[in-house]
Amino acid sequence: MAVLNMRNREIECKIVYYGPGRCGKTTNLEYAYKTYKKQITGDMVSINTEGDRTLFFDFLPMGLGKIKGCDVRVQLYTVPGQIKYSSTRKLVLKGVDGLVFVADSLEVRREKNMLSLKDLQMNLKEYGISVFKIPLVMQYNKRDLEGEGMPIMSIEQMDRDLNRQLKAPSFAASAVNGDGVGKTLSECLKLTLLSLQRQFQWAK
Amino acid sequence: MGINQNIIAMLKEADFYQKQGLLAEAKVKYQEVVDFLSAHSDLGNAGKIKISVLKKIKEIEKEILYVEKKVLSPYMTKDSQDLITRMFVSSDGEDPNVAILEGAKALIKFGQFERAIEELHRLLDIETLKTEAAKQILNCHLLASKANLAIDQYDRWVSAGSFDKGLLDKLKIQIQDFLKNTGIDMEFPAIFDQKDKQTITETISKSNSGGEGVEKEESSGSKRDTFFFEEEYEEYDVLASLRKKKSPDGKKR
Repeated sequence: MAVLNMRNREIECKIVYYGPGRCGKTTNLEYAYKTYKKQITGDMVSINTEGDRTLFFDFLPMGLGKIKGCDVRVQLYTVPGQIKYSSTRKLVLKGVDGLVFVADSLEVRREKNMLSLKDLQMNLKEYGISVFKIPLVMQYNKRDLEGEGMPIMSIEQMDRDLNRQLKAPSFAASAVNGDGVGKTLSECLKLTLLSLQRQFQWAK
Repeated sequence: MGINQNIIAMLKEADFYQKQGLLAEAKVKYQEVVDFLSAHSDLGNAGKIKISVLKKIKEIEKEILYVEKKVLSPYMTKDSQDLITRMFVSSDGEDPNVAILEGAKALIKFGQFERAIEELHRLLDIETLKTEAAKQILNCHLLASKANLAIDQYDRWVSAGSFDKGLLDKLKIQIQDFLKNTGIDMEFPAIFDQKDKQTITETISKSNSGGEGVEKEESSGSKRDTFFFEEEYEEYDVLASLRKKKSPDGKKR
C-alpha cells in the first residue's frame, strides 16, 4: 500500500515483478540498477541461492524526484518464481501498488506463464485485489532467443494466452540486453501513479 | 533437415535449456534425443551419443534434486534481515513493540529463526505482547526442527516462574500438538505452580541435609520427570530422551 505523506509531499509506492521461474524478473531489476544510477537511492538487495535463483525476493529502491509537487519514491521487488515458494510470493505481494508480469517467450514455458498468471490472480484475490483493477503491465521477455534459433512464441500468441481479458499494456523485451526494460518500468510507474492520483488526489 | 542436423539441433536446444536453468525442459529434450537415437540405432555413433546423453540426464536429475531441496533456514545477511523487519510490517508504526512482533513474524516466514528469537525476547516483559512472543519463540525452535530447545525454553520459563499457569498450559499444548503432528508421542512433565515447586524444593533440601525420620514428601502432582529439575541442560536427541534412554553423560533422563 502506497505511503503518502501529504504534509511533506512525499509518496512511496511498491511495484512487484511477477512471473514464472527463470523468466527474467531479477534480470530486469539488475538492468535497472546498472542503468538508472541517478534514480537509484540504495543498494539492490538480492536474496538468492548459489545458482542465482531468487530465493525470497530482490529489492531495489528508486527515487523519481518531484512529480507534480510531490517527492516520489518507488520500491521495486521481484518474487521467487519456483512453484514451491508460493507463500513467499504472497508475502512479497502484500501492499503492492503496481505490477509487471514478466512472461517467458520460450515455447516450452507457455504453460508456466499461464500458471504463474493464475497464481498472481489468486494471491491478489486473497488481499481483496482484482487483477483487472490493479495497474499492470505485461512484458514478453527473451525475444532475442529467436535469433539464436530457439523456438519462441509470437507476440500475438502470448497476447492471446495471457492478455486477452486483461488488455494490459504489453512490451516485447530482452532484459539481458536491456531492451524493453525501461519502457516496461516507465509504463508501470505511470499507471501506478495515475491510480494513486485517482485514489488520493496527491498531485497539485 | 537431415538426421544428424536434427540431433545437433535437439542437443543444442537441450543444452540451452540447461544453461537457462530450465532443468525439467532440458531433461525432456535430452530424453527426446535418447528416444530418437533408439529409433535410429543404425546410425554410426548412436550408441556413443546415447551414453553421453544419458549421463547428461543423470547430471540434470541431480541438479533438480539439489534445487528442489528446501533450505530450512537459509543464510541471510543482517542487512537483509533488517530489511525484512522494516518492509513486511503492516502496523502503522504507532506502537514500536507491535512493529517488533510483526517484524519477528516476517523473519520466521523467511526462515530466520535465530534473529526472530532475538527480537521476540525483547517483548517478553510487555504484558500485552508476551503471550504471542512466547508462542512465537517456541514456534521458531519447533520449525527449525529443534524441539529439544523448545522444551528447554519452556522448562526455563516454568523454573523461573515467568508466566502464569494458564499461559504455561497453552505453551505446553503448543509443543505437544506440534510433536504429535510430526509423529512424536511424548510425555511432558506436569506443570507445577510456585507453591508446589517450593514444597518440592524444600523437600529435596531437607532430604539432602540428612537426618533420620525425615519423610520425603511428594507433591500433589504426578511423578516428575527428572529432567524437569535439571539445572544444566545438554543438547540431546529429542527422540532418544523421550524414549527415556540414557544421555551421553550417563544420566537417565
